[in-house]
Amino acid sequence: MFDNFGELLNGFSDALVFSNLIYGFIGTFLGTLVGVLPGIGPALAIGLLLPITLTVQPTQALIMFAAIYYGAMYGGSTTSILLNTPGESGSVITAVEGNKMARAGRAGAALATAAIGSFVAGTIATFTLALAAPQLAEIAIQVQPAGFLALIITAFATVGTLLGSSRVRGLLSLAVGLTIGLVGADLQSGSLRLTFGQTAAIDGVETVTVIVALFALGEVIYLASRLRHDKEEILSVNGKAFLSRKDWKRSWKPWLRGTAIGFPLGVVPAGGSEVPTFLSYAVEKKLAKGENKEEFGKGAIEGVAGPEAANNANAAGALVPLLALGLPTSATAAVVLVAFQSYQIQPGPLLFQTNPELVWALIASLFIGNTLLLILNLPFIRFWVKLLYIPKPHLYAGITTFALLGAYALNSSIFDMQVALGVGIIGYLFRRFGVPITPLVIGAILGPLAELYYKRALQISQGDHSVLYEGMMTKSLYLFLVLLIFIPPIYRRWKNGAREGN
Amino acid sequence: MKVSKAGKGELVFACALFLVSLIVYWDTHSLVLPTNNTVVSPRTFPYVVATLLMLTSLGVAWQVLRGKEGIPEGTQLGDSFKKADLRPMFIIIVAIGLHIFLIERTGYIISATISFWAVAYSFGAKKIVKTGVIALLFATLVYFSFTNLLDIQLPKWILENLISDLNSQAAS
Repeated sequence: MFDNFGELLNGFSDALVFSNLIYGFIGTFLGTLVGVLPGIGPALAIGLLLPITLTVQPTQALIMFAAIYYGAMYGGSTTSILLNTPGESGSVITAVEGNKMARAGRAGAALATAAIGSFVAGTIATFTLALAAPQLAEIAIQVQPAGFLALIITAFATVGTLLGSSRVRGLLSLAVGLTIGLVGADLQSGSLRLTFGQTAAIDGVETVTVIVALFALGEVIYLASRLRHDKEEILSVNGKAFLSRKDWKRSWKPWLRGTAIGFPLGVVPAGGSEVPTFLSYAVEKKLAKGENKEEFGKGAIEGVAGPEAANNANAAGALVPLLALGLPTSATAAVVLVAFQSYQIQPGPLLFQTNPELVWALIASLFIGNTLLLILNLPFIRFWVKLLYIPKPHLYAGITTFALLGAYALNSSIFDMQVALGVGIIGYLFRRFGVPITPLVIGAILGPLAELYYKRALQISQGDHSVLYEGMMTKSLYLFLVLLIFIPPIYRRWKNGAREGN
Repeated sequence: MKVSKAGKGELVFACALFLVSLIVYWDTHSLVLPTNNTVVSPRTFPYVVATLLMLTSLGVAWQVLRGKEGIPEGTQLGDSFKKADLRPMFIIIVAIGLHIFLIERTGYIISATISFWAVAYSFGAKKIVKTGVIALLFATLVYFSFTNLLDIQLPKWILENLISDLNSQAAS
């Protein structure tokens, strides 16, 4: 453990060079800039900014990247509070109470508790990450391919069934993602699958293109389809983004509780930040007393402080399985994975041995990015708010153009742009028919990995399928899976039965 | 059994994905297998995926027939979400298609200006000329900041190509 501490200090000394701090500053600025734009969540913001980080050195790219990551999260909460259009599922709850606070003239306090809460949660969670990820990686080195396959299947099932309102739609989304992941040459045999004679398809479909097209093009087409129905109102910030003594007193416990809820749920594949933010909100509502409780639903500061902390801690928690196992469990983590791969870093158990400097520089950058964010952004809140006044037609035209640019710039490929258009239309249909998007992203990224581990497992056992469920770890994971699938319906039936009985 | 108009749309969506699953089956079936003997055939995994896609698309179709239609996330009670505005959607899809068609023919700036303008127009931008100027400025700014600052090459403007062609011809 002391080794880790020393390594972390080395990471800091790498990251704190003046020229690197400049990259951190640029990342914070760009991340917030793109994150604040309505309709853009962290996953899309990172996806859109990825081409920019590709041209600098790996360490600097990571620093910039960590700053973009936190910047985009911060920008997203500003939009949900002032505009009530959450860019991603993790900010939905923030929008509920935060927007009500802004309506009551307390926008400054809502923004401040979100920002400071994110800082507190981010710092604690990054520290826990620095302790937990190496330990987990050490255990994970001993995990066999069959164990990894079981982990991936568990991630599929939780992401597919926990998100959205309908299980079958979640699984449908997963299946479409897996199908997209099939496209291209099979890794071992080289057989071409679903390429239909297109040479550009042999390398498979670019994941960033899929993510950007889904979140940007799909959303823009969806918004265009319902132009006549929506009206939006931007709330102004009166006074400074500032917490009174009373607000501090009401905020600090929810921050800590939110962190405690968000981090562990990020480490296990629980389908992103929807569940932890909702849980944190429920806990705060339950614990509130007296007149504070009355405020829930009308703009209670606890209802912003808790979920925002949970959201940030969750995002840092998701980096633990990503770094230690190479498994992303949310759309944002999936983009981070792609970013690493584009810096020629393959996350996974071996990462801490092969590339320790980079990992620790990244973790140190997360601390620095988080701090820069607090220092730079809170005083300039009025500047960020101005971005909300960009006219909608120009905003969406800009998002569309930039998304297509991202698709093209990665490989200078027309084929990637065509894929983006196709996936954008799928994204629209998903949006329209209430099919969650994250399972698709996870399926497209983890599908090929699942096949790889499946083949490795069977090669080791020479075709004997019992290897897939023999170990302790695989057994317990599959047991968990069965419980996950069957308990909720049985519970629901039992509850309904009890109600009818009365 | 009564299915609303939006429900019918969702049925078509589910059937289309069912069709995709059949295509995956067919593609996997007609896969050329490698001659060397591998433990796991490259067919196994696609068959599993196709089956999952088939079952879930049928599942969604079944739910729609039972009246459980999909509701867009973030829809609040009383919001009308059923009627889609087809015209702006259509313009956007055409604008993106045009961008893809033009980017390597006319160069980045022209194709991005046209698609930016068209998307802004479909979102109800009123001042057509002003929007055109903004589109041109945006495309030019993006082009030069990517090619000059970030060293990411984008297709050159058509005139630049002509000039460099002429130059190289003159040289040879």
